[in-house]
Amino acid sequence: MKPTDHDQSWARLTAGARRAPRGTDIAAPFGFSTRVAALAFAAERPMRSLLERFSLRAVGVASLLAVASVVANYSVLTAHPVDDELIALEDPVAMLLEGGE
Amino acid sequence: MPDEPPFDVAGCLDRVRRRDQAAARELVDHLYPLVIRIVRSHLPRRVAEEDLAQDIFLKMFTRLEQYQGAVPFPHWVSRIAVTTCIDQLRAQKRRPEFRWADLSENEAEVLDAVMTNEKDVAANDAMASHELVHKLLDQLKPDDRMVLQLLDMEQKTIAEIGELTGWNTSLIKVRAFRARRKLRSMFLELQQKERT
Repeated sequence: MKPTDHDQSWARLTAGARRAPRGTDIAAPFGFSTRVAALAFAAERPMRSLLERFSLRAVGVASLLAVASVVANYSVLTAHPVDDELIALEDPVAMLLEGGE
Repeated sequence: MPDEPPFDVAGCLDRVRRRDQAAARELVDHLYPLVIRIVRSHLPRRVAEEDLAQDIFLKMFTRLEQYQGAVPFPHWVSRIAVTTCIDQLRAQKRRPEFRWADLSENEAEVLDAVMTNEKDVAANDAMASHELVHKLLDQLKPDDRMVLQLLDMEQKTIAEIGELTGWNTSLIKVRAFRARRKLRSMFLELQQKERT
């Protein structure tokens, strides 16, 4: 057995393989194109509803407005701190407890 | 008898974009021979050719908006077909072992003949050669297999392979080199096994 160059072996093998008859049935099988076209159009998303399109945007806008209002009123909140003692004095429960002592 | 007029791809695509199902069916019927030839050349084991062809067409319709007309439409579809086949081959993690014992009598004779003498394969052994080539290609990594299939079986040029796969010249050459080296070692191993 005389071994030959392996690249030549591969070349002879592929040359032989290229002579193999190719499948002659290359037309689409019956119903194939109908099925594929139906699947392709079914897979496409229909236009999103108005609610779906705007709800996320609305959440974003609402969040921004909330943050903006806190920022805008921050100085007012910090300039007039809530008087804890006043609240405590006017608290009816506290008054009741104090009166009971 | 007058010749059939050429298929109006651009007009058909316009109709498909306007969601005309009849146009979509015409497009599939027109492109099926092209797609099925690619699928049959690169069909992974245990995958039905019709299923793979269907995946390719569905991808084509999904990406239709991306088609700008820079290349002819059949080239664009061929590329989708080739990359889908590569993805399928990559998904098959295990490759079956190649053994003499698994070859048919005819395949074993052809393999022995190409390894030991310098004669061409006989015409009536073409099918056995075809089977053998695919069994050997199945041993390679999917990307290497694709390059060798396109180079040696379909006799494409490096530039054509680049167009089909999107890989650059150096990458294709490296993959071809790696695939041929692996083939050489397989042939050597087979010869040694045959002797023992």
